[in-house]
This record gives sequence, structure tokens and C-alpha cells, in this order.
Amino acid sequence: MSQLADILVVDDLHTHYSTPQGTARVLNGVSLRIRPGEVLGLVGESGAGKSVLARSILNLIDPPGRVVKGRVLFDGQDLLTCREPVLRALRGNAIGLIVPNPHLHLNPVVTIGEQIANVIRAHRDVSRHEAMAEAVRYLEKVGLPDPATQARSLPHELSGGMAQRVIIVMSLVNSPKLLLADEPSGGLDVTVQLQILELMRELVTGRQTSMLLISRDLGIVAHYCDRVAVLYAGQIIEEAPVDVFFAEARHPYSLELLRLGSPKHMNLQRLGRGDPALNPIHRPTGCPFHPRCLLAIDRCKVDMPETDVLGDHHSVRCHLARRSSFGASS
Amino acid sequence: MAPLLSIIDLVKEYPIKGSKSVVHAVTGVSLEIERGETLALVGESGSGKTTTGRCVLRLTEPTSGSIIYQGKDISRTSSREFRKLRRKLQLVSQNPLDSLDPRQRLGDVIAEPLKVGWHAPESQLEHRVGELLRLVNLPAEVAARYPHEVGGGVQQRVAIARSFANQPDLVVLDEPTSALDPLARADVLELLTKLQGDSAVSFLFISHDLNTVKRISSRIAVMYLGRIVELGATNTVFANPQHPYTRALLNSMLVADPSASRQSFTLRGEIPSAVKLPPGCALASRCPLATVECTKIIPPLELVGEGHTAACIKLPRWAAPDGHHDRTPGLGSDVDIASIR
Repeated sequence: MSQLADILVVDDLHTHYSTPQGTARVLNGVSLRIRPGEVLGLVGESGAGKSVLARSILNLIDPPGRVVKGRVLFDGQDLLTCREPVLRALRGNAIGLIVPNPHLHLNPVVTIGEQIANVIRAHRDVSRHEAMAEAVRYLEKVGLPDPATQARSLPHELSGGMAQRVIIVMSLVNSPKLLLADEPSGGLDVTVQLQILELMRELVTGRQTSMLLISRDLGIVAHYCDRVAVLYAGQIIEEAPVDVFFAEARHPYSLELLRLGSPKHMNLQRLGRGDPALNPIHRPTGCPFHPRCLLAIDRCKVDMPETDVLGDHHSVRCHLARRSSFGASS
Repeated sequence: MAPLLSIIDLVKEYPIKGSKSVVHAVTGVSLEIERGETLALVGESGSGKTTTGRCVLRLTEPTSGSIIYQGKDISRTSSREFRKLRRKLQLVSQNPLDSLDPRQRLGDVIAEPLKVGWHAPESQLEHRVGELLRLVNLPAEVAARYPHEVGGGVQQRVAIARSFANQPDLVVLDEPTSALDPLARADVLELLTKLQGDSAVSFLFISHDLNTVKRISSRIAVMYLGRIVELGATNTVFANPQHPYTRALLNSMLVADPSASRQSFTLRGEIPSAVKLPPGCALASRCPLATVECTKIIPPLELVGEGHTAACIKLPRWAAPDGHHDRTPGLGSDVDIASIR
């Protein structure tokens, strides 16, 4: 295990949204840590709270949302109690963010070269000319053909894959210590998706950049992450090093994801169903997965399971995690 | 036995406003859909798979080519005649919320296609709606709910129930599970398999998700920039892909297993514009095998194995064993079969 201090510690984070229908409890006590240079994969279905977690880490939750409880320690500093100027100095600098759907996040009337240069100049005292030259160097690094000319193009002139490269440049140009990558290859075609993931790996290795890689795709987790955390209904329900997860996952939801996504697990017994869908306003009592769990016992309907540490760095929230017959191949 | 439906040399071009150029969405697709099979149409965005599906249902008029169903070219029959056939050809689209009226209860959504030509009493209509809900493993109570009150998996199962209201021959499923989370997706795929077993309906399953296609389809047609580049039994194509595009596509599918090895057959760049089609093979600019020859001719689909065709001039041709008369499904009409043998 690394002796270095964790770069990110999220401790018992609760983020709620008030809606006319009631309070949506999107995050319900998320705790996780990321070590320097480590890639933590975060998987979960829509509505599980993945993106809200990334935004909560950056203290970017706007009303009607609110972080009601918890701590987010980045390099020992609590981002949730920081003053805004301190946060602004960190965002886009020591902490980078990659979002899906790049065209939604680029300014449509500013050239991509200028947008990258602006990110550089927001945090470093360099001339406009120097910043632009660095932007072009980066565009070349990420494989944009004819970067000097491309730097003068507007976002709409770029394909989705190229626009995502620009977003990646913007998130990495100030050499962040932590990168929050929210579905970085989402919405891209598979052949392009692979190019983007390889590019990100290339850019972060050797720099000791830590990464929270949010993805729905277990294939991406298997090949690009060191550890994996499964988020369900705003809680981490299982967490393990990638090898351990793929070999010894214990939560019925994790096992169901493996059964449906991983060729080695195709013959597992079915343990869950698709509905009812997650509803952060009307949360079930007990274990949030129990209405969809085929193994649920009476206790699951009443008692919220605590995090159970099964082994080295492997923890699960399930009353049945220690059952021996659990999840055997049928 | 004749196929259920044949697509012959389908071409679809979309005009661009204020320009003489056109978008070449489909540039010559021939396919046969057999009774009771699930034929997957895969490809990336812009490959023409959705346009092909829409032409099959005559939701868009083809520029040229024919769609043969029940002995007629349904792209040219009168709309009056087509309306009768249309009940047997159904569509389930990607985002159920786009295809379900937000102000209609789910029971009414299913009842709507039944009401066309319904002569029995109203109470029997309700009974039939209940039957259709049962068919898709949903409780009768769902009929009273509105689309936003249920999850995506339930919405999609309602859309499927509606498509089954008039015992269809063919359902075109356009990315039916792409918007769903894994567990809900599994429910829908399981349901489709069951429905096909019960009714011998055919599915044209349009998807970009190879994992899903592998689980559900019997045959697979791979499209790239408006053409089919490879066609064959799903198992064969996955085990032994021939066309460089198929190989790259399968290679970019990340296997959810950290110990799985990765080959490195990848493509450069991205899909070219469908407005200015490249000369020759559409993949040439991205293909690691491409030579000058590839930019000169458009490669026809040729046999590369039993019932397995691919459109690439770099592939060795397959010689059928003596006396073997394999049907060559999906061969374009411009291909002279005798010259291949």
C-alpha cells in the first residue's frame, strides 16, 4: 500500500435537492479515498448520484441542491468549507474536470485555441501569445491534425471526438493532481472512445495524476482503473481493487452487473431485476437495493446494511455478503 | 422458404437546403430478413442503420431500391394499401419517452393501435390491454400510470407491448436498450427473446452496442457509411471477423475482464462526411490495410465463408466445397455470384 497521503478523501457526504415533490436524497453518506496516481472507477446506473458526487467534490452544487453533511479533503484541505477564491484557484488547476457531451461545455463563439489559452492564463502568469503557443502544442499532443489552424476553429467545426480532445486538453493543461472524469468517452462512437481513453491514459501516466473515472461500462473499468467503487442510490455499496472486484464481488447488484457485462460471469445466477427504477425522493426502507434484489430477506427491508470490510481493501454493504452459497454459478 | 422481407439495393439521399449536395445516408443496401430471426444492424452514428430501418417501415421514402414484403414493393404501393400492411410492421424506438405521449396513460398507449378497426365492446379492449401487459411481464395496474411515473425499463416494455398489439411479422427495434441501465436492459432483452419464441416474429435490431447484439441476434450486418461491409451469423462474425472495420469495431469493445488480452487493430480518425463520400472503399482513409487500390473501386460484398460475406478487396476469397450450394444472403444484386465461385 502506498505510504503517501490520500490526495482525496470524501467522508460521509450527503447531497440533497429540494423539489416540489419532496427532498431528493441523491447522496446518502458517500465515503471514498483516492491515493496519488491511482485511478478509481465509479460505476452506477443513471440516478445513482455519480455526477452529483463529482460536482459535490468540486463544491459546485447549486440550489435547489445542497451538500447537507460531510467532508471533502483535497490534499488535506476541506473543499466544502473553503472560500470561493480558494476553490476557484483549485478548479481547472489542481483539480481538472472532464465532462461528457463536449459541445455543451465549450463556448460556441470563442475559438478552441483561445478557450484553452484562457484556462492557462486563469492560473498562470503567462502572456497571451505564450498561452496560445502552449495550447497549440497540446492540441498536437492529443492528435488534432494541423493544430495551428485548428486552434482558430470554433467548436461547431469539430467532430465529437475532436471536441472531446479539446475538453481533455483544457482539463490537463495545468497539470492537475486530481482529474474528475465524468463519462469522458460517453456519447462517442466505440472506435473513437478507445482513442480517447488511450489518450487520457497516456497523458496521466508518469505525472502521478489521480483520477476518479466515472463510467457505466465495466469494460472501461476493467482496463483503465486500479480500484472500483459501485454507487447505488447515493451510497457506495461495494469497493475493491479491480482484480478483486472481478474475482470476488459480493453485492448482488455488483454480481448482476458482472453477469450482464462480463463474459466470465455469464453463467452466474440472476440476482436482480430492472425495476422499480431508482427514486431519490421515495427511498425504500432498509437496503436501497432490496426491492430489486432476488435474494432479499426480511431484514433487508428494515435494516440498512453497514459497510462490511471483507478483506484487504474490499468492502461491501449487504447483509448477505458473508453467506457462503452466495452468487454461485448455476 | 422466401424471406419475410427483402431490401434490394436501397439508396437514401437527403437533400441539403440551399445546396446542391446531398447526404448519402444509405448507398446501396441489400438484405433479407427471415421469418423468426433477429437480424442485427450495427454500426456507428452516421452509418445509415437507422435510415435503413425507417425505409423498411416507409417512415422515409427511399431515393431508389425496393422493400419487398408479401410479394409487393411496399416503398411504392399506394398509401391506402400500405396502411393494411403497416400493422404487421412495427417500430420500437430508442427513447421511450419520445415515443410515449406524456399525457396518455400507459393503458391508452397500448389500446391506441387496437382501436383501429376494433368492433368488439370496450370492455374487451381493456381485457386485451391486460393481456398485452402480461405478455411483457407487467402487472395490470401499470395501465393506469403515466409514462413519467415508471422507469425506462417499464416504458420500453410498454412500447414493446404496443408494437405487439396486432401480431406483427416484423418489429424494427431502433436502439431499444441503449437508454436503459444494465438490469433494465437485461429485462428487455430477455423479454424480446421470449416474445420471439412464442410468436415467430422477426426483429430488425438496430444497435451500436456489440455486447447487446451478441446476446440477442442470430445474424449480424455491419454497416459503415451507408453500406453493409460484413454480413454473417453472429457467432461466426464475432469469432472470425473479416472486414477491417468489423475487426476494429470488435477490438474497441472492451471486455469486462481485467485479465483479457487486447489486440491492437485500431482505426485512425473518425467516420468521413456522408456529404462528400470518399472514392473507393469508404474505410480506406482510416484502414491500416488500405493501399492505393482501395481508393479506386468500391468493394462488393463477396463470400468469405459459409453464409458469411464481406466487402474488402484485401481479403482472400472463399472457395465453397464441391457440390456445395450455399445461399448467399444479402449479396447485392450487382454482384455476379458465378464469378465468385
